[in-house]
Amino acid sequence: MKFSEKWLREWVNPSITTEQLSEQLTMAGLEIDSLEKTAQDTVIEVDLTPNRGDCLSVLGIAREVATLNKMTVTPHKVAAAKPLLDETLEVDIQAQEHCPRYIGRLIHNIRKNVTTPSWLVERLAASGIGSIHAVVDILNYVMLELGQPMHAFDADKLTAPIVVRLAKKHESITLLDNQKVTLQPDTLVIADQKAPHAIAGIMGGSHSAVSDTTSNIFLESALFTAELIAGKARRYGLHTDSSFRFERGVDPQLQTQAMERATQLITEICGGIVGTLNEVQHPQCLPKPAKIILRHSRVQKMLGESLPPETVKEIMYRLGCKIMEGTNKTDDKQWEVLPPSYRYDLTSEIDLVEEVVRIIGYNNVPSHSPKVHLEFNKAPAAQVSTQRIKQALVDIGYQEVITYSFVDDNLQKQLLPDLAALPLLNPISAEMGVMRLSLWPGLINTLIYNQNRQQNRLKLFEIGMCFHPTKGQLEQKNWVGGLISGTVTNENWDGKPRIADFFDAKRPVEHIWQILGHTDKLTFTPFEHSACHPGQCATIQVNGKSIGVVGRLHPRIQKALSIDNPVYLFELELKAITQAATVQFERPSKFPEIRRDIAVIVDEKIMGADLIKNVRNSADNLVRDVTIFDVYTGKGIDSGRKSIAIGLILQHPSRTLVDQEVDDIVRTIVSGLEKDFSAKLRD
Amino acid sequence: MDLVTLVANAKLAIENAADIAALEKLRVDYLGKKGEITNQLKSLKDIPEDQRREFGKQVNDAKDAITDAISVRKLTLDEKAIHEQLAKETVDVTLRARGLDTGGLHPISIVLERISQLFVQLGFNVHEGPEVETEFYNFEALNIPSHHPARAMHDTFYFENKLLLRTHTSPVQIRVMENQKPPLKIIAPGRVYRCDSDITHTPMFHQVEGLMVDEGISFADLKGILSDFLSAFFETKVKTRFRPSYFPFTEPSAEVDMSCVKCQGQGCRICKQSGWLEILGCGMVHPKVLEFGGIDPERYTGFAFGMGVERMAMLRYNVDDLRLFFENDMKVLKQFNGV
Repeated sequence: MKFSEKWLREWVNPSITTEQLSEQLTMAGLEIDSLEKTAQDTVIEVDLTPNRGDCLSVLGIAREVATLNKMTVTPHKVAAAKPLLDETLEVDIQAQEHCPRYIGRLIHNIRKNVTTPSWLVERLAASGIGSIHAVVDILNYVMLELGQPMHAFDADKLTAPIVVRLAKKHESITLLDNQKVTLQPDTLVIADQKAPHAIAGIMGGSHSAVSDTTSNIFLESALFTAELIAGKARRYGLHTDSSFRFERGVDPQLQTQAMERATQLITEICGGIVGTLNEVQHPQCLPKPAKIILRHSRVQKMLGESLPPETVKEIMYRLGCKIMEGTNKTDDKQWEVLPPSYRYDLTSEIDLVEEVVRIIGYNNVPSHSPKVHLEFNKAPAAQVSTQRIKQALVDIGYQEVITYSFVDDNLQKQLLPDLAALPLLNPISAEMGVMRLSLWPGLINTLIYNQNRQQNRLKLFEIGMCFHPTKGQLEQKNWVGGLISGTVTNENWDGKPRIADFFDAKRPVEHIWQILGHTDKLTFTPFEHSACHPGQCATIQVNGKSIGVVGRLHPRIQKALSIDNPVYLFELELKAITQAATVQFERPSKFPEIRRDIAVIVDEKIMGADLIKNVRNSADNLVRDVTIFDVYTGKGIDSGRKSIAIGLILQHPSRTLVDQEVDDIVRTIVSGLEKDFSAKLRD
Repeated sequence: MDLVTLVANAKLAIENAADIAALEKLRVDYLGKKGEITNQLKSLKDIPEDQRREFGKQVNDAKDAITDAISVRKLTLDEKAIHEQLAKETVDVTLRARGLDTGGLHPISIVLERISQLFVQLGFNVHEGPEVETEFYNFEALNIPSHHPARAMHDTFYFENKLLLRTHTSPVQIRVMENQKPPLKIIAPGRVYRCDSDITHTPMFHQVEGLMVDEGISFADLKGILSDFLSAFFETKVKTRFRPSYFPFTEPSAEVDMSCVKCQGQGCRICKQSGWLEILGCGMVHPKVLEFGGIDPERYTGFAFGMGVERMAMLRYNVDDLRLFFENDMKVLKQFNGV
């Protein structure tokens, strides 16, 4: 809210400079956004928190300034106008819980084409409000001065009685800004016998608006509840000074005062014959004044230091509260506090505590380190931190990225056509329309972004949540995802670097698994994934349970996205890898290891992992290690077959193996391979 | 040829032997089976008996002298050979190591971890919560009922069935309080979302939430821990000021400003000439929120705070555009490698 400093000083005038005033208000929680100096005045812009609707007026700010400077607000008494017209429009409040009070008044025969006085126009301008019509300007002025939004109708366009009711189905209204709005049935309207004439507390209608031809007006000063107005203006795309105030609450005792002030200004400026004040109210629906018990001990507990009870009491008085002396317990004092009607935000003890701290000044509260009870962290040692996993990937050359959790539905569908993503109802743009099902769309987008900036060599990873709607439930899990594309290393002096392939994508997966000390075996099984090359994709499993996927982006998709190099991707469920087992020590055998190598020729479809498993089964606990150290196809090998060289490390736990038994083991292994895979021993 | 000349000639030849092979040939020539010295020894039998002893000694002396000369020369030549070998093996030490590839953490990740670690050192535990939240956890349990104007300020992303993307990390407070009893010391780092996108807003950003609940926790404790934290994070004694503010889930609520790290409070572009930077929001946990979390507000008090990680990162690394963090340009991210 913007307001004129001069105007404020008519209400309260402490002997401090503009800058001091600004600092004082800011440090009291009424943050001053800007000071605009003009020749005669300063326009002060204050950014109010939503709980301080009481400060959305010059009077409100003045009360605050008075409290802070231990002053009082200059009274501006307005005498009740003497009605010369014994006439009014009957008002029927049908929705009492939304409108506990409605004050109406007719003023007849106002002068037409009155020019609003320049002093008034200037004050409105300081607050960013333009001049429209003398009556409207005056009502805006009263709103700025006291905080009560008001409305004026052209009385000749109304067919009494006036009804305050909820909108009927399919009812519509053309508003002051000439936009026609279809009303929803939870919207309160001010209607006459024919049609609605205003959306209560938000905006009036164009039909009954005051104009240059208006001579009889009907003024409204009403109390609409914050609960009613909240969110409505936004829903209709309207944001008015009136709705802004009602949303935050208006002093429930302000309506009569505002009506008299408006009447005074209108008769002064526009003339007219004042009608009787028609006050319709439903006291049972008016907000109940709060009675709050404030304990001295509570104030001190929150503050963290002692404070004399007199100070607490004095602050309450300065805020305009009434105090009943409460009981005096032996070691505590408590008061029954009645906040003023305009401080409807003060409803509980903690609100008063905050006021005490605020008026003392937050920066006058001491500052010290909290005292704690020492406790050991109960997190299990086997729980690996996400940070450790990140570091492991960084150490093998991967760059972490952070991409948006919402992605382009089209791109995601290209990768995962069979899965339904969770759509946002109000996305920023279509490119951020749905929640991600996988980290891959974000990683691929990052690749494209960087490729467009001549960065083709990429090793990327991201750790973050993915969102899977399944059977009415939403699964939110953290995943580790990665991408490698382009050459494996930088160009170097000793030859041309290799272009990344499938096994480079497996590296981070196996690296993380090993570095975290998992004892369970990770297995890779050929897998068909909608986003991957059919011959270069595997599901990653532990104990038969799938924990992720690794594969090459399908060349069709790669081409469609205009990506230069093959792209390899992996994805692992974070939780599946962060639980490592605690080490159980095993004494190493003291007896010599024996190495034997065999080479077998098998069908090219046979998987290396199956051969290794077979070898292990054949020779059980005497095989320490099995490694495939060469895979060969080409000259000397029939087409459709391949040669696989296997290195065996044999060792007995408690004695030295003799050549004879090693030969026997190798023979058993070979015959197992021959039997199960039609393998042929290569000479 | 007399022995003296023979030795002199031999020594000269040995001295001039160019390599081990030449030296070996000389050894054979002089000391081999048909060598000069061997021949001399063979001629011993022709020497008169009274001179034989004397001559024998002279020949042996000559043999020793030549043997010594060969040994000395051999050492020199060996040395030379090693030098030549080493010279051949010399590399260009300025060439780059092979297979180098450096990765790095995202700057937001670095800052998030740094903030977390500072609190973990004080015994805080790290907690996570879901990013797709319910209205209850994101708003109602935090004392933000549906009609509350603060809801409008949050610019929330919604899904069907009243689900939403959390607008702050504060819902984690409630989830922790529901499952644990005081004393509580937790922080909750994570992603949050608001539908706002311009130069100073991205629709997704990161926050670190802090919560401490125990008997006797006061506003003075809150001031103390946050002032100390900011000094620890920025590694310099920063001045702080606490301004009253409003969050429905804390009361008293405060905005914390710190003296501008760029101009030390003198006023600059970054602090908009004010000398202060708005850095975090905090307050004493509202009694209603404690109740929502099943904690007795009469017995326990607590504080909560929340800070924007991007802002901390921008200040620490001198980044002037928030949006850079989510473009993931390698030329930007690689600058933080090794931080």
